[in-house]
Amino acid sequence: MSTGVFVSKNGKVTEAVGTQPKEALLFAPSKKTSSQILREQRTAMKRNNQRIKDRFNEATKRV
Amino acid sequence: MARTKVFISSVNEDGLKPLRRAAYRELSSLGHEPLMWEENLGPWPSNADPIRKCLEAVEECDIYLLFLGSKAGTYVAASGITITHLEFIKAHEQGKLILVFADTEIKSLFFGGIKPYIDQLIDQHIHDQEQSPSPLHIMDSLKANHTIPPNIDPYVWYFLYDITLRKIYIDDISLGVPIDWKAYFSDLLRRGSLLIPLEQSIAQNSSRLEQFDEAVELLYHLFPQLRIAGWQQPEELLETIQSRMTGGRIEHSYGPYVAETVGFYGDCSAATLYIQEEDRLRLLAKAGHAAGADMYRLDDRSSYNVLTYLMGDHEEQLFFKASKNMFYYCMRMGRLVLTLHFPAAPDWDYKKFIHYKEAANDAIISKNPLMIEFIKLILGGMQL
Repeated sequence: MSTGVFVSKNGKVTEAVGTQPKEALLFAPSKKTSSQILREQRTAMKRNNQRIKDRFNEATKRV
Repeated sequence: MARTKVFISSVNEDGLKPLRRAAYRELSSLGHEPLMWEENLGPWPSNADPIRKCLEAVEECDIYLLFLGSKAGTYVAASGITITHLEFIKAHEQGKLILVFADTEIKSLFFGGIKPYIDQLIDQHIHDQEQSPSPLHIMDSLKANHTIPPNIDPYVWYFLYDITLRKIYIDDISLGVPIDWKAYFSDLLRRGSLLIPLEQSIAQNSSRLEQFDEAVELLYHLFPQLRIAGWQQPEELLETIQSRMTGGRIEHSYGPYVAETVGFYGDCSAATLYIQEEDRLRLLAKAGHAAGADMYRLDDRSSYNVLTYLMGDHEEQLFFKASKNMFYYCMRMGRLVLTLHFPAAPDWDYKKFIHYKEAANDAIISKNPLMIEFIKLILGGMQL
């Protein structure tokens, strides 16, 4: 079964299957980079900010 | 003057009818504008979708008021939940003020035994299947459990569970005992009165946040136009970066509402910076407890620095080595490879890394991605 994790052992990179020695260097490609995460956080921040503004406008307008 | 619209929601259950009617009457007499199916919502023309109409009314309201008893109400097969639950989710998604009242005995049974039972059921399912159980699976397990009172629809427990996951307080109602709406709404007014005067402060903070974000956008455009001539003290640069990279919690998420802490990692203990020269990476600077070699050949795939370099420009990767009990967060910018060392808690081994690889990646990469982005911009601007 694929683990999605790779291992570097004795200078060779293979998929990490089965027992791994303590010295093994393991890594797994991340689904998102820090840049993508930052973009998402900034988008969410802008959306939240807008929601707060809209809510205050609605709450303070006189009808 | 605008009046407060209160959507009164509950299943069509005999025991709750007097409460609903009393709430409608009293809220009207207090000058509010309650919306309730039996009184002023519907019936709509035959071609109108009543569920959609109810959800539109939820969208229009200021306060969503929910009464919960022993019955679940009408189940919408296409959604996999009940109409009342759909209304609740709509109110939550719209950021409405949600007030939930549940029968005292049902609430006490829920928190006293059923919620811990569902918690355990979910934990076990996650452990066995690596995903949360479906609502249907939870309800089937509740039905099969003979210690749970059969007179209460299992969906009610599932609904209460969802309400607690969304961190919404559940008030008590005793059937037959009227709710003191005057006192209740007076308390709401008190809470609102505490927050309304903060409008200016919140608006100022909101504007500052926008300014910061615009400045970040400007830096994104300016940095690629710059060529940074060289290093003052590369070790100090690394020490500055190292000192700001703190450790934290590693959480595994099961959807947007449930996250489980699966481990911890420590503050950045070391940092190294390598530069590619011909067929090798040469150590430019190190900080903290770094014990990296002075040089790595580019065909040495036992080095995380080399592996990161070979991934390509602007790439980043998290590595783990059990013998060192360490996470290595590496990034390549042009000819440079920066590596930050984060100690793993002692319980991390290869099995745990394989199992929680995404959680570990996410915890370290997303702790403060803006700082990572600035580091990348600076390293990317180096004239080498």
